[in-house]
Amino acid sequence: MEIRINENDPMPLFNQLIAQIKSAVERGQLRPGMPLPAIRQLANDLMINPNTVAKAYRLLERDSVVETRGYRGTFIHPQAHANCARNLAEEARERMQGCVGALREQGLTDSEIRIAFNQVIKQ
Amino acid sequence: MNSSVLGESALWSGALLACYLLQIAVLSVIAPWFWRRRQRALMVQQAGADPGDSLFMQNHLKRRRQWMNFRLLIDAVIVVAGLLWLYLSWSRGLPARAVVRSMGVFSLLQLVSHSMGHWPGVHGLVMQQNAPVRAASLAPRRLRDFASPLLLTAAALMYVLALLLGTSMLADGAAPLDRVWHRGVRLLLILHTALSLWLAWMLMRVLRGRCNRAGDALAQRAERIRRKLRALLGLSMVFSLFICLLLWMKNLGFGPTQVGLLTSVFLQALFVVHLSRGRV
Repeated sequence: MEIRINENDPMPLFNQLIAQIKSAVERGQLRPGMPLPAIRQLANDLMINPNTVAKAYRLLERDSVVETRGYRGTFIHPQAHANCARNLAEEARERMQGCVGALREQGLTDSEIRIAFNQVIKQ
Repeated sequence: MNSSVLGESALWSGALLACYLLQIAVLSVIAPWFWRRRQRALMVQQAGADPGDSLFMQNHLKRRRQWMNFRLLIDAVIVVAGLLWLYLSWSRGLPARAVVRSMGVFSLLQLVSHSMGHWPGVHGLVMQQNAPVRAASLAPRRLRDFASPLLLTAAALMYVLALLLGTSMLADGAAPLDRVWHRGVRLLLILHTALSLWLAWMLMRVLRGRCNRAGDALAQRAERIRRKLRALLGLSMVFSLFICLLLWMKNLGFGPTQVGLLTSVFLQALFVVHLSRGRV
């Protein structure tokens, strides 16, 4: 299985990595339990910063597409195929939409909602 | 030539001198010549790959030429210094131990010059970094994927064998009261361990380290890694064997002349194999 990055692509490098790994999981090229290369190995092979690969792995772990098993490395999550379809950012947007709609119905202005949101997120 | 200079027979002294002269020729004249020839061929190849004759390419080639000239200068200094030192040691009748030790340091200088061949830009690393599209395998690289368990076990066993031989000699040596002898054996064991650690570090570097030719196909890259790993493991085994041989010679009471001769022949043999495989 090969992964490819394009520096001229407007999509950030870590997003390119995430998209290709998710796509490989969906196509069945990466099956649950399969190991992924170490961060340093992938970063060296692609000649990119290790932090970029680490960020991609971290976001994939958050989405439960991969799991880290300590020093043994990073592996494809058992429910990776189902989790690939999930888009947490989209889910968050939908939830926020419902919440903001409810607050507007109560008569709050957008400015008040924004201030309240900023206060909550800063806590 | 004074035959008693080294406190050995004329035959051994002559053989040692001839061996050191040959070492200077092989390591500091012939090997750099091969290296320069390869560099020139690579430069022609790289210039051909950039028909636009860009400023980047011009600077890259200029840097390479400067590096080649610098190494030529270093090698010339090494050759002159080596010949001068050999002449002085033989004409002034330095003891064999001092000559062999000084030539050991000189060999290190020769190796440093050789390692300069692998420093900046010589593998076209800079050029590869400019490629906007780069590929990598999504499979982790493990040592056992590239080297057979038999080879790995053999390399580890050889190391342990040399270590056991040395420690058993220290515990129950042929010359338990000879401090110089004990120090020599300890030094060999430390040197062996240090070199094995360095080789292990090199193994990890080849396995996980930066890829010099990111533009190559993945299969080509894997083959290159396999070749390098096998060469390093082979080197580790040969080195363990060499240490065993030196320990055995020490046990039998061979003098510094014979040890120096063997070390020089070993070093030259390594380089001849290296050259014959086109790895310079």
